Amino acid sequence: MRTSATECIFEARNLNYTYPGNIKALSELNLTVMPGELVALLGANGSGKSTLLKLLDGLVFPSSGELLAFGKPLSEKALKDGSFVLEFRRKVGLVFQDPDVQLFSPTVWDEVTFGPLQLGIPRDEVVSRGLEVLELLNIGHLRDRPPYRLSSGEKKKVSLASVLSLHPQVLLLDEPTAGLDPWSQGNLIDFLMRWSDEGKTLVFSTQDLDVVEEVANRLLVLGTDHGLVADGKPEQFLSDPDFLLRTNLVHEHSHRHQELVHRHRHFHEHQH
Amino acid sequence: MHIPDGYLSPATAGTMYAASAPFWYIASQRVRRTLTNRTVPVLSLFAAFSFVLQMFNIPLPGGTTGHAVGGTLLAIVLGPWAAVLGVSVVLGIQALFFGDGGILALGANCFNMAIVLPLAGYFTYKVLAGDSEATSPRRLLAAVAGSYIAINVTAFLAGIELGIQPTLFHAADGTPLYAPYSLDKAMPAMMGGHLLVAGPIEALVTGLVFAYLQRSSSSFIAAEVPEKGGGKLWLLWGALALVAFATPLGLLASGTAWGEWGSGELKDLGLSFIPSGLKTFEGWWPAPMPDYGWSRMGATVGYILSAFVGIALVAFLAWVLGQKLIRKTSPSDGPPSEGPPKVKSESFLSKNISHITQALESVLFSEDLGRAPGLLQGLDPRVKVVTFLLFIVTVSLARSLPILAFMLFMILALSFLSKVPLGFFLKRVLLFIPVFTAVIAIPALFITPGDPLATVGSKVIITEQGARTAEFLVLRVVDSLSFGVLLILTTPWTRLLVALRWFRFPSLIVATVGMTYRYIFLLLHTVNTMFLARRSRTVGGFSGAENRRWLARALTTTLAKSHHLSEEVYLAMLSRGYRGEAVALDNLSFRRRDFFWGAFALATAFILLWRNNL
Repeated sequence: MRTSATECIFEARNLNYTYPGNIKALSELNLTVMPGELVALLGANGSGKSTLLKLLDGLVFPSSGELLAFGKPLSEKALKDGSFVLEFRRKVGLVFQDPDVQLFSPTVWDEVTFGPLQLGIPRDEVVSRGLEVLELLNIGHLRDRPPYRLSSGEKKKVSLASVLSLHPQVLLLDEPTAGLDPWSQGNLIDFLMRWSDEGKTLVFSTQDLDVVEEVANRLLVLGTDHGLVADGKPEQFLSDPDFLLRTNLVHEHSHRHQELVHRHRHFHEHQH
Repeated sequence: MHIPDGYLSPATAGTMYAASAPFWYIASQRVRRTLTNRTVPVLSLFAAFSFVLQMFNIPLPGGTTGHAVGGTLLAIVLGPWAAVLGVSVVLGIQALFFGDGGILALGANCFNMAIVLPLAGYFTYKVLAGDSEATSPRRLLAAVAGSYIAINVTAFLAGIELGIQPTLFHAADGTPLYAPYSLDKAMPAMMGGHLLVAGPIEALVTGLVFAYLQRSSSSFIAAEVPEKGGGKLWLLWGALALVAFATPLGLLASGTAWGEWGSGELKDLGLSFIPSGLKTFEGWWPAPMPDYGWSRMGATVGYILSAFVGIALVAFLAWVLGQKLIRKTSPSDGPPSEGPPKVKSESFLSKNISHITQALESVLFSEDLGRAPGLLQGLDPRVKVVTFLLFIVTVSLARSLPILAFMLFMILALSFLSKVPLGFFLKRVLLFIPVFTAVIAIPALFITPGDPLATVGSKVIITEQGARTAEFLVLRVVDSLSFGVLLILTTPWTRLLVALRWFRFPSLIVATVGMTYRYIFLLLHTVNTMFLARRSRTVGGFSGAENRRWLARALTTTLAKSHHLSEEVYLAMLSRGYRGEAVALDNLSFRRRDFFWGAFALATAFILLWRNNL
C-alpha cells in the first residue's frame, strides 16, 4: 500500500515536538499521508492534535525527527525559500480551531481574499475566487460584515471559506465541527464529503466519533503519552469499546449511552 | 490629558505632528527589526489591550473618575518602541471613534502620551530596576515609579502646549483664540491633577498588573530583550530632550507669522509659572458672586448672553446625558439596603462594563448608518477624508465667531442630508465634548482681562474678551468634533482604511489599526464575560480590595490572552501566505458627485478663510 516517498503528501519519521519549558507535545511520531486520504485525528485534550496540524502546515517545526511534504523536507530553512513557500502555501490550507484567530481581517470579504492576495494570485482571479467561496458556503450576505458581527456558526463558515479560496489540495482542519449545532454540523460534513470527492486530501482533528465515522477513511489516534496509538480504518477501532476507553476517547458514562444510540447505525452501515 | 481640537492652534498642532514623525519613523524601524513579520499581530493585540485598559475608569475622591494610559506597562512588556507605536494606534482609534482627543491634536497627544510617556517610563524603570531579579520588589517599585514619573512628565508637556497658546495666539484685542490660560494657570492645573490623581492611578494599575505578572512568573517580564547599544539609547534621549526643548521655540517662530506677539511677552512664557503657579491655582475660580449688578452692559449684550446660555446649555446637557446613561445602563446596582461602600464598589465595575457595552453599541449602530443611503454615504472615502480634514483645519484657522457658527450650521445641514438622526448625532457629539470644556470655558468668562461687559459695583465680572474666549473655545471644540463624528458616522470603517492605504499611509500602520480595532471587540467581550461570570457567582458586594484584585486579575488575563492571540493570529496569517507585508484588494472609484463635493468643499473653505478677519 505504501509507495515511494515522492507520492506521499506528508511523511513523518520519529517526529518529536517539545514546547519551551520541556513540555512534550508529540513523541516519536511515524506516519504517512497519501493523496486522497481522509484522515481523522483523534486524541484526548492536550494530546498534541493541534500541534501536529501546525507542524503539517509548516507553522512550527519539529524539535527532532524528520518531516517531509510532497517529498521535500518541511523545515524552517526550506520555507525561507520564496518559491517553495509559495507553492506549499497554495497547496496546503489550515483552518484553525478558534475562528477568532482565523478571522483577523476587517471584513468577511477581506478575509476570503486575504490568502490568494498574499500568494500573488492575479487580482481578477482573487475576486472570482472570493465570490466563488462565498457562494459555495452560502455566506454571500455576510460579505461586508466585520468578524465581531458574526455568530459562531457563521465564523466557522467564514474560516473555512477563507482557506478554501486558496484552492488547496490538502485541507487541514482543527476541530471543524466543534461548537456547531447538529444542522450546521451535518451541512459541514456533506460539504467536506463533496469537496473531497475530487481526489483531495483531508486531515482533521476532532472529538466527535460520529464525524469520524461519516467522513474519514483513515483514523489516527494520539495517546496521552503524545505518541501514535492507532493508525488504520476507522471501523476497526470505533467498534472496540476497550480501545476507546483506554485512549480516553470515551468516558464510561457517556460510552454506555453512546453505544445504545449507535449500535443500530453500525449494523445498518455494515449491511451495505 | 487627551487634548481635544480647538485647544491648540494649527501651528502648534502641526509642530507636534512634525515632532512626532521622527519618533514614529525610528519606532517602526526598530520594531520591524525585533518583531520582524510578527509586527502587525503583536502590535495590534497589545494595542487592543491598552485600549481596554484605558476604558476602565477608576473612581476618585470628589466624584470624578480617571483612567490609566498604561504606556509604561506596555513599554516594559513589549519594549519602548513597540509601545510608542501601540499607544499611537490606540490614540488614533480613540480620536476617530470615541472623540477622545482631537484629530488635529493627535500629533500633540501622541507626542505626549505615546512617545514621551513610554520612553520616559521605560527609561526610569530601567535605571531604577538595575540588574535586579525579575521577581524582586525593587523591580516592582521601578515599574510603579516609572509610570508615575512618566505620566507627570507627559502632563508637564501638555501643560506647556496649552499654556503657551494665549500668549502666542490671540486676537488684536488680546482675546485668546485657543486654550485661554497662560502657563501660570495651565501648568499648576495640569500638574496638580496628575501629581495627585492621574499619576497615582497610572502607578496603581501598572503596579497591580506588574505584581501579578511577577507572581505568575510570566515570561513577559522575565524574557526581556537584553540591552544593546546603551550609548545609542542615550543619543535618542538627547534627541528627545532637544525636540522637547525646541518645540516651544518652533512655536515662537511660527508665532511671528501671526505678527501679534512682542518680545516682552516672551517673559510670560516661562518665567512666572513656577514660583507663582500654585498660588494662582487657588484663586482660579472667582469667589461666589452674591449680587449680580448687571450694570453698564454693552451693546453686544444679547450676543454675549446667548453665548453664555449656549455654554451653560452644553454643560448641562452633557451632565444630564452622562447621568442618564449611567442610570439607564446600570439598573442592577443592588438593593439600597446593602452597605453603601459595597454598593458603590460594585457599581464602579458595573458602570465600567456598561460604559464599555454602550460604547460598542454606539459604534455598531454607526456602522449601519455608514452603509445607509445618504449624501455623505454616497461619496468616495478619499474625497471625504480630504474634505473633512480641510473643514477641520478651517475650523482651526477661523478667527471669527460667525464663521464658526456657519460651520456648525453646515454640519447640521450635512447630517440632515445624510439622514443621520439628529438626536443620535447630538448625543454623540455632546457626549464626546469633555465636560472640562465647559469647566474651562466658564471661568474664562470671568478671568480674562479686558473691556468690562458686566460689573458688580465697580468690579468687573465679565469682560468682552472673556465672553469671546469662551465662545471661541466651545464653538471650535463642537465644530471639530462634529466633523469627526460626521465622517465616522457616514463612512464604513473599512472604507476609511482603504482610503488611508490609498494615501500611502505605511501599510504597517494601516494593517495594525485595522487589526487592533477588530480585536478590541474581542477583548472587551472577554472582559465583559469575566465580569458577568464573577457576578453570577456572587450575591453580595465586594470590598475595594477585592475589586482591585479582580481588576488586576482581569487585566492580566486580558494581557495574557492578547499575547496568546498575537502568536496564534501570526501563525494563521503565515498559513495563508503572509510574508510581512499585507497585500490588499482595494477598489475605489471617483464619481461625478465626488468632484462636485470636492469643489463645494474647496470653495466653502476658501470663502470662509478669505472672509476670515475678526
